[in-house]
Amino acid sequence: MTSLPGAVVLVDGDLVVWSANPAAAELLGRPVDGPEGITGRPVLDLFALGSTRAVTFAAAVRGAARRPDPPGGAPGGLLATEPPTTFTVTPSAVRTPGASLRVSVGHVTMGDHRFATLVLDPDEGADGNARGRFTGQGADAPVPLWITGVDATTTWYNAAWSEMTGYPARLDLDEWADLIHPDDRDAVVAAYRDAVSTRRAFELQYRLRSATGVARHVLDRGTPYRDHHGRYAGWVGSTVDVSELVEAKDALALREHRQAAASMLGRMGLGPAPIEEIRQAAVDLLHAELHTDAADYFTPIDDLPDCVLLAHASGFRPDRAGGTFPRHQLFWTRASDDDLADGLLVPDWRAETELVAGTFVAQYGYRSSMAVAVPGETGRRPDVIVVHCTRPGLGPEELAHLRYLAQVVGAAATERRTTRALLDRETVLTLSMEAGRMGHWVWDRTTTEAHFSPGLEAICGREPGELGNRWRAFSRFILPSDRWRARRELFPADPAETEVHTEFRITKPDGDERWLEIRGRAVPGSSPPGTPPRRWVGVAIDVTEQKAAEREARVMAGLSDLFASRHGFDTILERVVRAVVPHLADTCSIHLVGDTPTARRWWLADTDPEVQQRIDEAQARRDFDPLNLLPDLDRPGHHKPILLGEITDADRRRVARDDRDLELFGRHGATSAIVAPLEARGRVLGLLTLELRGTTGHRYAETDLRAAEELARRVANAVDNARLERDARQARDRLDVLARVGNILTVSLDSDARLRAVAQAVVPSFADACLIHSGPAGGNLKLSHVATADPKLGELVAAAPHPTFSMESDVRPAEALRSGRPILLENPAEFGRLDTPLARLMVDQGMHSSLIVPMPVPDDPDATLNVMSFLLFDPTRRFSHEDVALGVELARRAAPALEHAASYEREQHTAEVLQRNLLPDRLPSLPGVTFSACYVPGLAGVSVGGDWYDVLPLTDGRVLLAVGDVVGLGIPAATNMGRIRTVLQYCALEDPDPATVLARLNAYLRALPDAEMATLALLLYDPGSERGLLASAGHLPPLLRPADGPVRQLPGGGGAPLRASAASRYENQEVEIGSGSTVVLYTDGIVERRGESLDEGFARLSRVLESVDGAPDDLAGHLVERIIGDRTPPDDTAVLTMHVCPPADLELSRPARPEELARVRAALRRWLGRSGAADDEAAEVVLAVNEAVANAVIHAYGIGGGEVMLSARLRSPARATVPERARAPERATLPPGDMELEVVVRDTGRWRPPGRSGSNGGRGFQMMRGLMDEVAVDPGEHETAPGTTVVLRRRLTGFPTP
Amino acid sequence: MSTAYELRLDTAGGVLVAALGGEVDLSNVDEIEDRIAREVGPETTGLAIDLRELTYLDSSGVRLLLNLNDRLRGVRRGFAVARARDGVVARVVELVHLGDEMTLTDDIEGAVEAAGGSG
Repeated sequence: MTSLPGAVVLVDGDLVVWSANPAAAELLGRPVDGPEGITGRPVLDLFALGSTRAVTFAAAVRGAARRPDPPGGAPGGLLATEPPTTFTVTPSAVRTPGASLRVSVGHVTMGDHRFATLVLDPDEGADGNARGRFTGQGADAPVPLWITGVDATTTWYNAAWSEMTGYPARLDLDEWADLIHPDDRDAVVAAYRDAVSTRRAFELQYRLRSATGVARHVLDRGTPYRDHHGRYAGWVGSTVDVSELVEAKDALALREHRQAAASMLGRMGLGPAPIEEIRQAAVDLLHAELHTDAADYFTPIDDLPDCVLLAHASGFRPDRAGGTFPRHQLFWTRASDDDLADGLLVPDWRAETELVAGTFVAQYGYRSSMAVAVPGETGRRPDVIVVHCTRPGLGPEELAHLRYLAQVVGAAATERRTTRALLDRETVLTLSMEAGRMGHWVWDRTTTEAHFSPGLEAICGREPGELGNRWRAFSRFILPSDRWRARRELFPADPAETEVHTEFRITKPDGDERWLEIRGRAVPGSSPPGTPPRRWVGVAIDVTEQKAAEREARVMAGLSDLFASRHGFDTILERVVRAVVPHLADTCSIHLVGDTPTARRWWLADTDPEVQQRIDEAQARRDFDPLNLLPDLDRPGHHKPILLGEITDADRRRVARDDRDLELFGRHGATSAIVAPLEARGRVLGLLTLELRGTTGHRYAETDLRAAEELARRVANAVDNARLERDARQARDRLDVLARVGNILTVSLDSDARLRAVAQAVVPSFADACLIHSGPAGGNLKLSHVATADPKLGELVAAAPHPTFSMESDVRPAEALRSGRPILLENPAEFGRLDTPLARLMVDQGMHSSLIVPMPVPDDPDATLNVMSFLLFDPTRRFSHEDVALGVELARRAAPALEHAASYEREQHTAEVLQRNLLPDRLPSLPGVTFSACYVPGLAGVSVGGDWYDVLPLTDGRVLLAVGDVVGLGIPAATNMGRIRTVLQYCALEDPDPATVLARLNAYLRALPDAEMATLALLLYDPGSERGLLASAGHLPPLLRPADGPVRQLPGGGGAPLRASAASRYENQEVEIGSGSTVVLYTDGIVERRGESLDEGFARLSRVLESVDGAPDDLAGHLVERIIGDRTPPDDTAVLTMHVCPPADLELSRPARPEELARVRAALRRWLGRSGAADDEAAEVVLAVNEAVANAVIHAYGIGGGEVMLSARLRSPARATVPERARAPERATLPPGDMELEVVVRDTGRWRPPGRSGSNGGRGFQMMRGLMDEVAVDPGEHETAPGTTVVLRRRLTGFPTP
Repeated sequence: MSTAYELRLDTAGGVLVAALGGEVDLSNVDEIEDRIAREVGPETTGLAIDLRELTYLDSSGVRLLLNLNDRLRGVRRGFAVARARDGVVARVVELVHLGDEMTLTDDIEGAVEAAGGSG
């Protein structure tokens, strides 16, 4: 209160300070007395003033102190009335900048003395009201001041004081005391006397009655003063009206109190506080607020018209125990209810004439009273609040305030009554539900008993009473995971705590989970002060929906960033499903609709990783199709989320395709689901599915649909955005692809690389894989180039078989070639026609869309035809019509590159074809000698070289084997090889001697200008003698595997390669090649291996040959497979084998009876067939032999019978035991594999003359001679060697030949 | 056990038609000759042998044909043989110059006509 007004300094005409009060000392920063004090100091020392202003200030002070009172002034010369002079000064002791003061100069005269008065007023930093008020008074009317003499009994007041109080300027002590409010009087007078006697400064606040009778709050400050000799001279002081300040403070306190009261009453309305508590609170409030002596609260009792219930405040006691009061004694009973509603006021009972007035005044000393009805239910007599006062003067202001309080109390009471009524009614359940799922509870700490309202029971879904009457009983419905926390928060450890708040989940009987929010307050006054509150009341609110909304908001907020990101929707959807679980669902899945069934994709997250795996499994079966739930998927814009609050078996069956699915669903255990369509821009993109499992008991409800819809909307937009972006990117990529293919054609690459580049250029921007099939017109198509985005797929393609297929087949590439039009396959069902291993592989790998484009057919009829196949595996992509056009354009642009490549391939192909055509397509099958051969081209398309072999059967039964290697590659080498082979055949015809043939070939090749060098090994084999002649022109030595011995190299002869030198000489080496032997002739491809010596190659070939059992039909192929295997040899390879194994002879011995003839014929036919005889020749032989046997049957034996013996053998002509028969000239050129057949039929009987056959017999010999080359009959010797021998011979020509 | 053969006997306008199948050799010629001869009666105007289904014929079979020819011509009946076009039987017929001794036709109608006509 440093800024309180009343800082006054008294100065004499010498400018010396006579006195100052404490307020002035405070403002000036100096004590009143002492060395540093104000008193006795020249006034100018107190202020820091410039010289000019110091002169002015001193003149003003001196003038005020010395100016004589005007004539006719008041006796005692008390007051000066001239206008004051005001200065702004800075206290010299206070160096704070801006701490300036306003100084108003006035004067005061006391007796002989005249003083200047300086009233100080802080210029800044003070309370606004005080400053404003004091400034006004200080400037325009100097502050009310007083001064007394030494006796301090008579006091002089200035004009301002008289103006304020309306009293005269001079008062004795008693007169002053009478003006003081009686309540304050004694204390003030006593304090004054005490201060004067001790000569200490004083400060007193009291109520001073003004002239108008209104009491004013004043602050009186006094301080003793001394004359300039230092002698005590009396008191000087100021009196300031502080009524406004005091009233303001009171008003503030009242407002706070009122708020607290209203708050308290309001709180009570919530709980089941007894009505008495409300009344008591109201009365307490009234008493405190109105400063009345007594306040009563009356409640009429309907059944007892003369009685009221009474609540009271201090100062008043009802006469009768039990709280009743005779109604007629109450003043307000005379008023109507309407009057009471407005309020009834008795300002002074003494002015009243009624009987009751006397009673009140006499009995209780009340002087005034007022009463107001408490608003309540209509049709019921109202409660009344009555206020009595022991003094008169309750007025309209007090009444208005009482009315306000009555309303507050009324509202609280009404609320209380309503609550009570609700609790009592059956409708409590419904109303509670409508009111927002609320319930109440009451708890008594001492008894631990609790009461749970029906509303709370309803929230929990429990029967009345089922919640019990203890929190402990209630807590069994709380979710176990929430119990501990709920308990901690409901029963705070701090005994001073008066409020509790918690949230927890409860389980309803149907398994549903609900969130409850509990708030509670201690009932005030329910326990002795300093002990924990005893009674607690509170509410319970079902906040499940709010919780869900909060959860959704959190999930949505978390997803917002994601949706705004530029991730691909793969990433987005993956994160979405993870963000949703477990907050909104146990399982969240998003299905995107593909353009084809296989293009459908999904993303899934589940609280249980195992479940997630199971569902993925189900999805992998591609049976599961939740789209069945939305049968009208093609009608966008009509779909709303579907709520499956309780999933039924029917629902499951609708979605499942088979029992396996049903089983999976059952294990998954989803019991509640929401399926929301994903729609954007009028298209259905897929489905969002939220599922709950039965374990929590929670089910989706209508309220959850909104969240699902919102989530679906955002997901759909994200997917749509990602797709739009992808489409834009793909459009750019398409242009890039064309540009890239164009570039390839301008860059100088070799044709193969160029072709590969074309395939690679379109991957992956245009397709996930690109295949190119090529083939000659009218020939077969074969996969020529592959490019894949996924390297693994590339490996799979490389490993897969690549069968060729005819241009006329119905596979798609062939179809596209024939039609010259692109084929777009979007349905996997159509892939069925691509029934090739490769196509199946692609479909298995997830290919779902393919575009097949034939390349333009060149003018050249021999040109290679090409088909490009573009494949898509990414299920989110499909070929559009634009893509078809782009594919056609790509093929058009790539055609030149392919054409160039194809011409190269054509050359390779030609060489290969040429070579294959020049090699014998069939080897001769001589009796007793078998051949096998194998040719393997070198590095595909590169090393078609000049390796070759041939087998030439000669007319004399010998055979010439040749294996050679022509230097060079491709078509020239193949051509040279062809020439050598032709010349060889010619030479062999003239003279098959190997050395001679080589010499002649050397001469021939020397003569050809464009021939290349060649190596050649020749083996002339004579099966009859089982010997061979071997000669070599720089060729690798053949291997021989004898029937009984290790494999060895045959001597090569060591001749120079053909055409190497004109002087080359060749020599024959004679070798023995007996029965069971095997000879292998070969070129270097079979023995050469990178990083190995040739000897190692020989050793390997020898080892392998040794390990082979016998001589399989395809011995050469077997050797190649064992040694080369899957490797593509760097050079081409030729292997030729010969195995010597003459056919066994036929030996038969049968009874000489006619019925044996058929058996003999069958045996002979079989033997001939096995030996390789032609069918027609065999049949003739059988006819002839049958006659010989029949002769023996007819003629050899009598009744006793006997045996007929038959032996047959086939021999090469060289070994024939009979001379060559004459040949037809045309057969002399190059004889096929003729064989000499000899059949001997013998019996041991005696030859008899023809019997009954008569003239018609004898045809047998005619037939034999007609069918065989030679028929010889040896009749035998009668005595020494009985029996007849018939020898039949024939040269068979029908053996297989080249 | 003689060699398997087939014999179908039929008449066509007084001509006995004997169609042979399977193999004919020494083991079954006598039986075949007996069976055919039994069917030749006074009303038989001729005999036609069909060899087209026969797969084997040896010299005894040739003798059978010669014998039958002799026997029918001896009683002024007609005789003709429908020969096989190729195969073993044709080769035999050619080897023994059978056409020099009897009428050979390429089909059974011709044989029937020849056998009946000559009778």
